Amino acid sequence: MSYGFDKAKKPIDVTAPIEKKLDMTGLDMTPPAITPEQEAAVVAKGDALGFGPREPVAAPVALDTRPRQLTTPTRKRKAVPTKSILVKGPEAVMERFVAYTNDIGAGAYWEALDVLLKAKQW
Amino acid sequence: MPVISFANPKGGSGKTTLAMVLALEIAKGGAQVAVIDADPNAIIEKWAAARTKEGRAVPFTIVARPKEADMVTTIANLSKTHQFILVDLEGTASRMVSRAFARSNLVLIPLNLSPIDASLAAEAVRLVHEESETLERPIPYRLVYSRTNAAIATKSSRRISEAIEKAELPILPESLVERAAYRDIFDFSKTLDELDSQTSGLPQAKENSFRVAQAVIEALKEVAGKDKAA
Repeated sequence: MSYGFDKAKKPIDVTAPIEKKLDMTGLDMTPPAITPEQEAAVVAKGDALGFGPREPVAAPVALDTRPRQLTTPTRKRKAVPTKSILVKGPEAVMERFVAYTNDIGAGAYWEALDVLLKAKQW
Repeated sequence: MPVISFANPKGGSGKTTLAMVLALEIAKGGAQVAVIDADPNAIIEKWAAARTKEGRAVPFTIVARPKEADMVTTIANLSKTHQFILVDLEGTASRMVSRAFARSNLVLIPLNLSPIDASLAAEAVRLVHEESETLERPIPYRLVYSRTNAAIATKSSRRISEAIEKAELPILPESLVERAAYRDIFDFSKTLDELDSQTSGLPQAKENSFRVAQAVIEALKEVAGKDKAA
């Protein structure tokens, strides 16, 4: 009478190598041949399906690390005292002035004013 | 000298684990194996580096992080000296994948039975189909269920497997079961045979590993038979 108690199982030896061996006979295959044209065609097909280039682009060109005195000298604006004025006027006039500034290629509104004043020999 | 690629644009789908399991089983079977570790994380290369540091042999050759444009040449060069070439691709949709597929005798697309894995695996399948059309020859592939639960099939996993069966897509008859041993081989830089009884479910993992490898070999034989017939 066992009362349902089974005989204890033998512990499995997990370190024992498994005897099974893969049967790899009959696998005399070669990688499929592919021409450069075919490769370009599959790459284009992949691109269309979202399988695009993922490699980082070429490294950026190294910064110019030459000493400053050997490079082209940069123009330095002479520091002059500055003052701010707030100009409020009719919208049409302001827009004409902004358009004029852009038209003469002035980099700032004060430059456009300077041009106008010089024209009036003021 | 078959070339097997492992692809799924989804990360964590089981590509590296499947590649590793196969590489170990095939090398154990006595064949010369090369693994192209094209995953930017280079997990297999790191596994090998840790083994080397600890004075343990690496049972296969590893070429890590090849450039996209060099994939075809890398495979061609390795095929001169190795009987099996396994290409573990990165978990993104990239040109590396397109190039590897064109040079593969078999593409394995592992997927967890989750909706995201399934939809991204479908993208890989679409690429295989489109490339086959472009090359005017079939690129053989198999979907491989990975990290399956040995005991429980969820409702969503059943829906996904039903959709795949309905679409009549080829599935590897063995799936890679979720086992602690598959994590431990990376954690301890060991092979399944080197793990000890501290790893739970090790005999089952060894059995599963062998069955998956044998199923892949059978799939290759089927492909080789069709090639000869053609």
